[in-house]
Amino acid sequence: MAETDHHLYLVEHDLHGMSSWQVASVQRALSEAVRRENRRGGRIRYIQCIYSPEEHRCLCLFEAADPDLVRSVNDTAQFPLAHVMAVVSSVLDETSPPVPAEDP
Amino acid sequence: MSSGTTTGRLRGELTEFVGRRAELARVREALEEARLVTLTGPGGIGKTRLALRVAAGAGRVFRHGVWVVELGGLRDPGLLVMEVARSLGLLDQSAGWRVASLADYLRARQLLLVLDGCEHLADACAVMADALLRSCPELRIIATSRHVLGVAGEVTIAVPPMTVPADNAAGPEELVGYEAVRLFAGRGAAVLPGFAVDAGNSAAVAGVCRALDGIPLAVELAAVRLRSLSPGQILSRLGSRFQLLSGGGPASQPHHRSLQATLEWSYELLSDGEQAMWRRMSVFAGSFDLDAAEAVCGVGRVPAGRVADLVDALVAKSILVREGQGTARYRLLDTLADFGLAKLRGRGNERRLRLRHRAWYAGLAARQEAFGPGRAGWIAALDADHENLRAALRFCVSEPGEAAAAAQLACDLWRYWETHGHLTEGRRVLAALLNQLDYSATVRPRALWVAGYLAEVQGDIREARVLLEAAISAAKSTCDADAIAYASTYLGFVLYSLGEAADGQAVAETALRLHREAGDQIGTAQALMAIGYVHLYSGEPRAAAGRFAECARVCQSGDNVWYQTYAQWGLATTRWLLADRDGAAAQASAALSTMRDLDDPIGVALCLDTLSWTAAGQRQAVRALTLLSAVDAAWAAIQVGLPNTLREQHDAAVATARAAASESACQAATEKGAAMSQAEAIAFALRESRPPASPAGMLRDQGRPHLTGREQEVATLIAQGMTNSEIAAALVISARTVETHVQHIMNKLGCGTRAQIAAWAASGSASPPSAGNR
Repeated sequence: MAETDHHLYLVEHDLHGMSSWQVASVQRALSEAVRRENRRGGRIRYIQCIYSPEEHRCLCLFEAADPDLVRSVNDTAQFPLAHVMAVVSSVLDETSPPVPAEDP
Repeated sequence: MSSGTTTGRLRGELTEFVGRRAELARVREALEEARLVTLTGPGGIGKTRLALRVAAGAGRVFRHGVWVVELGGLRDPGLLVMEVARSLGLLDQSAGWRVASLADYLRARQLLLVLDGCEHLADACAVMADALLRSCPELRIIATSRHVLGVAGEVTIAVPPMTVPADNAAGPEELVGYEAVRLFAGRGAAVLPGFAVDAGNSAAVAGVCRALDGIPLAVELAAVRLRSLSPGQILSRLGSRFQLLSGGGPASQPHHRSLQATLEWSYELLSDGEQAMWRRMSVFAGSFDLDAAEAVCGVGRVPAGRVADLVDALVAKSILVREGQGTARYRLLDTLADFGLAKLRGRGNERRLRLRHRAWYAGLAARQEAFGPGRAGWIAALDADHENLRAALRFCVSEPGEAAAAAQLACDLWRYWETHGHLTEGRRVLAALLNQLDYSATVRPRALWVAGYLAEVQGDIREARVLLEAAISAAKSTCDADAIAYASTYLGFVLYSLGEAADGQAVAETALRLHREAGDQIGTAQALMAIGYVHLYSGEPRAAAGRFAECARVCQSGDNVWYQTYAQWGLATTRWLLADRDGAAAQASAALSTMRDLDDPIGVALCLDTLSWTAAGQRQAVRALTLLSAVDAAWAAIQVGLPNTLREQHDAAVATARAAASESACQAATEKGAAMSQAEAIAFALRESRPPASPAGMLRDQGRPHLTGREQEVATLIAQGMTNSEIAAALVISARTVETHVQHIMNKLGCGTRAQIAAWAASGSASPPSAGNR
């Protein structure tokens, strides 16, 4: 994927009532959908999933050429109501002061 | 709720199944070893027929039945799992990942799923199948697809063409050993009684089958021509057609070329009117009825008055397939529809026909009989034309300038989507349309509140609030008082659900005032129900009862049976909460009876639940436990739950009834309830002696004496005039086994001769042979 074509997209999924096995199933389905999209020539990468067990929600981060590809893989994985948000990721400056350690 | 049957939803075979013994054996064997068997091959090769044949024979092996999901009409991969769930009778009420809820349902079931026509949804089918098979140990899947799905553990069987004679094949006796020849002869005899392969025509018949590469669809289309042509003439005309198509291009694959040649040839032999009908009917998706055909296709040189005759002619020529046991419906096979559409596009007429198609189905949706006594019929009509409604919406979404018309159609479908488990589909369509609609479009506020309402029903409360507030804002800018009233009706309940009860109450009261000022009886009823629900779920049964009673009065003056019945259920429930047990039981029974007529599965479950509490309260412990178990099954079957605030009533009833009955009585009652079908549970709750006839949407063959898959096969072969030895050879079983099957069939049908079995099998009757025929 060319550098200039990189865009990040975030999709939030409500996984209420799901077991950890089913949450793993969700990840497998999304990964497989991305793999199949790439095989067809779509340019998309499933970068990360952050899951909150308390909120029963997961945030899925994709890198893709356009949001339609992200919708397409979510459709394939059977998330037809996925709301796709374009996002920007910022990496903290390494020179930022570290979090102070607690006193022993 | 128990399926009560091991047959599931299998469509009966309309024509004789010919040959394929080796393939049947391979698929059956593969299904024993693998959990996903995919039948691949080009269009017209017979994948579906083979899969359904295997499925029909497998019915007794799978405790929870064989279920067929026809995917040809589904174009949206995101709706795949909803379509599968719907085929199993499950409603789409949750906004969560439906694969997980479907897997929950299937996990404890031993079931065969047939996914027919996966090629255009291959990736979605593969991802879903993989997830289901990993979660459901006793699930098996047969898929038909032009291509492999590519799932781990998948066994692929390429369906070959039918066997055809070699160039030097000799006489008719030898020829009938070839499947393609038997198919040609069988279909030929159907259009030309007495036709058989003989010494005079055997060479030509063999030539036709060879020329068509043994592709069943091509052979069938050619055989129909025996009505007016000899086998030799058919061969000669096909030969010249092949020469035209042998130049390469997309039809250069031998199988494709054979089929394409047959299609072109069949098309050219039709009259101008028949050709026009074939082209025009290709805009339909799935099946359609004659009224629709007349309205959509009856234009210009083919006036509506000629359509019935042309449809009749195309059925006779096997271009159209007739379906349906009541009102006739018609279907173009996918391959024939694709061909017709290509011809239509070639003439530049597709858009015109699609606009007529959209107009017809928009009219059907706009009938708006969702609340009156005609509700069940209207819903059944929408269900029968669901694929056409989708096609009309799909056209509008992709066609510039049609978004507003599509939004109108979508808004008219909201009650159908809601009560028949298409919430996700509705929300998805509306989201796409709202992206396209101008901000000033007059339909925009309505589209927003309908989308908000569907989100609310699906439990997506945050999204519902955003949409409903946007609807009110849009409606204010266009002075749409009607939309303000409806959006406020639903926003009131959303605010209550978000913990803002006072604001919710105020908004709902505003909505009620606006509906009354507008003289909108349905809106008034909805607002009264919404306020009643808020009171009911807030633990204020007396206030709730007042609103439900008012709603019932409002509905009585109009034709609003649906809300009136929900108000009746609300009154029954409030009576129960106010300790009027007898009154609650009487009112819930009346509501249940009407809910059955309205074919509303959620309303039925609500009424059954309330009746189970009243039975427990009336110290009818066994009856209560039976009902409680039946209603648990009813909720599970539609994958919907009793509202949480009423759940404690259900649980209390369970505790009361269990305390009053012995352990063995509890167990027996629970098992009895769990095994009841919905119709049986209703009859039990209403103290009827037996369930009435199945409503629309129930299994088509429930009234038919239940033969096993093998017995059905034997009955069909008897109807074809085969002896026991011939049947034994055809089914690869012993003659003694055939005799046993025949005896079982006679016992089940209550008849004494093979002729009676044959007559029954040929008639497709739902009833055993009558005494007069014995």
